[in-house]
Amino acid sequence: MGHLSQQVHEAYHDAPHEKRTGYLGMWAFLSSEILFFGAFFLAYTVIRSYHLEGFREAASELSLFWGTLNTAVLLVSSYLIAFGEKALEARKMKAGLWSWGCAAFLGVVFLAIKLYEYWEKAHKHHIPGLDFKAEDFEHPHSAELFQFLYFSMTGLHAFHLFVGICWIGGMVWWFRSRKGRVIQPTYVTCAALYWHFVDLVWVFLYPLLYLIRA
Amino acid sequence: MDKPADSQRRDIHHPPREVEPSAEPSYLEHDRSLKGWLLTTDHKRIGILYLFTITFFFGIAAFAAAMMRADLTTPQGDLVISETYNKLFTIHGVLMVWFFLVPSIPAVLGNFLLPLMLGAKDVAFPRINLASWYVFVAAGLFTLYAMVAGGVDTGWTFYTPYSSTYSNGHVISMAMGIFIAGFSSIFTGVNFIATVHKMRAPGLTWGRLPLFVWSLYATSLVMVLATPVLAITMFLVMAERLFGVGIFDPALGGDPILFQHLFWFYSHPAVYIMILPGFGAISEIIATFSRQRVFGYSVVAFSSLAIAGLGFLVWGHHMFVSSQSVYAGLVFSLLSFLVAVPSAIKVFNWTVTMILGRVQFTTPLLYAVGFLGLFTIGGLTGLFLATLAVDVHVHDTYFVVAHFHYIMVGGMVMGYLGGLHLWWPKITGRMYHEWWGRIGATLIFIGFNLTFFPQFLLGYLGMPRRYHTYPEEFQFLNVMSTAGATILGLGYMLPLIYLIFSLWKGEKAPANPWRATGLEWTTPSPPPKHNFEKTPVVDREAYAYED
Repeated sequence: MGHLSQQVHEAYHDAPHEKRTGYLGMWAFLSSEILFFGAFFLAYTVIRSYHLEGFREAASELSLFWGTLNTAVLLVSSYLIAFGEKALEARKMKAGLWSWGCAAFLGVVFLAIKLYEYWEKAHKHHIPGLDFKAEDFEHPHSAELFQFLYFSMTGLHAFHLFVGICWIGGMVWWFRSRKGRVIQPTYVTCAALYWHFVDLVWVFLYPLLYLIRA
Repeated sequence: MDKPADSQRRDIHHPPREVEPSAEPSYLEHDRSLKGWLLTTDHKRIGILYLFTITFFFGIAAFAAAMMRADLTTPQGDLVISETYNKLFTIHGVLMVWFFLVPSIPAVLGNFLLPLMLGAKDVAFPRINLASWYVFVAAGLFTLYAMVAGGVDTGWTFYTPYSSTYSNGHVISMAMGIFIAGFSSIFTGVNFIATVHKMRAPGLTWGRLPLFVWSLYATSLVMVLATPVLAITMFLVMAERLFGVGIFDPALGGDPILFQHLFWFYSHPAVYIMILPGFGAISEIIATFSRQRVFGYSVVAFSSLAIAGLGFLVWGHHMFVSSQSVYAGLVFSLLSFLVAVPSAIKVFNWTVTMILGRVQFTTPLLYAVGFLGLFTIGGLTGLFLATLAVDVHVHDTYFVVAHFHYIMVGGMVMGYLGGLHLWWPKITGRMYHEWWGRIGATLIFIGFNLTFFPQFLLGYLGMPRRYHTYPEEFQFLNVMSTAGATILGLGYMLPLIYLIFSLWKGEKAPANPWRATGLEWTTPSPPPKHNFEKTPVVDREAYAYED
């Protein structure tokens, strides 16, 4: 098992310098990510204002149960990431790696539930653009727009989560393979920041897509 | 706004820094293999990679422009059919904006110089820097594929529902190219922000940063915050084409104006991504060749940030005739006027700097003076366009075309070429031929004005942009414009020739040929791999010219 330490890359003066630089870069990247999703939120708001009835109708088709369960899954994973980060910093390697491993696993659970929801929609022919079953809805066109936004917003989120699972999972694997060798603490915190960001996006998506309904 | 005069005076009397000959080989000689270039994390080499790439794109885009201008010499447009004409102006716009103007100064000169100016060994994240180039090349391939496979006729603005419903399918490939290019821009922006904040040499406080660094910093903020919005907009256009969902298509219950809001939320700030680095280069050139500290240093620095900030609030002035509410129009008009204030501050301060200093009319300074004239014309005509009532008259005419070419070509390209000449000895270790340099700068200035000034008149008289044919009475001005474009094209060829020539035959450049004060001049030309033998310590302001 590796351990966190203060080895410094040649471009930086010392460990705190490297750490602060990494954090700043990560925060700058995350601020750009917020605007990335922000464009979707704006599009959602505008289109919703034109298609209120259809959006309500289509939103009530979503499974409140799976959505809520997924929110819980992600929030627990966020806790595990935060706990694991602190544990790693305190050099409690075993606890840290276990909680990160579990968090990555919960991420996989989330994606599995999401895929099941997608599959359900595919089964009902509710995927926009591909043999969309208009007769299920009173406002088929508005419903299709909602479905499109649902798929692209949750899809983009799922893609981010997939990257997060690879990142966290890769870190765990990397820690274990670097027996006794050092690992930059910056990498740990940046991975954790990213995971929290992805969870945060879901915290906005969940009420927007699942909770506002007829 | 400046620091007390006493401390400045003490700083100014420092002798110029001595340059120690480097034992290390230069960044060019360090590892000459192809792998050494393609897998390099050296910011200087990445800058050179970008230089080749964007010069290539500039060539294609300029060729498309030349074809259009040639076509417009006759009222009927005899050279190409109208469909080809539409594809030409699309490829010209897309390549020039996303593959030349946006990356030109930040990715070429910025990559090369930012760590040198900060006294750092490299940018904050060297591997992300290399990744940004690969992403950029991949984006370029998508766009070139769209061009070769059949072209796109939407114009660079991709207005919906034309682009999302009616135009041909290569829109997807081209939009994909732009989507990907955005990530390259974001990578560069994130990298520069972290570099400016964290990689400065000891003693290099914010108040001592060169103005070029300030402008890159402001640019990076805009890149990071605006580009992702464009990415999603392009994604929505692609999705709408693929699935026919109707986010933007009014026939399907969508809103084409939503597209314009999203698009211009990026694309207006993008104008400042293009012009702010130009401002930075101009500040350096004027200070260097006036041998004078920039008048009102801190005001010039903060005006870059002000422009970056205000740039986010003015996108609606592209939409005065789009049926947005008249109140929105009023607010956007007012905010657009406000951008003129920091821009004018810069122009006044550069002018005063030259008046106070002793000006040497070298090639870079000719570009800078040209910049001042062209940018002023471009900026003032921008005020015409920001005025609600006038905009209704000249909207979508050649007046707009002339205005943004004065800003983007007259401003940005002059800044880029001026900066390229200023730092050419540092980048290559060779001096270019001064006489040819001056001829080139003059030709470009004359050619540019002859090309675009008639277009103000054309637009005022009512010739719409993007048209392939026009009434007979516009022919005289169009022929003038085409003649100017010929001179301009010749002007662009000159630097290409004599700069390449200088690589073989140019005089060897000393470390500091212009006797400038920036940190980048304290290392040998071309710099060694790690920039500085030992980390420099800064004890004076940016433009401490003693004579």
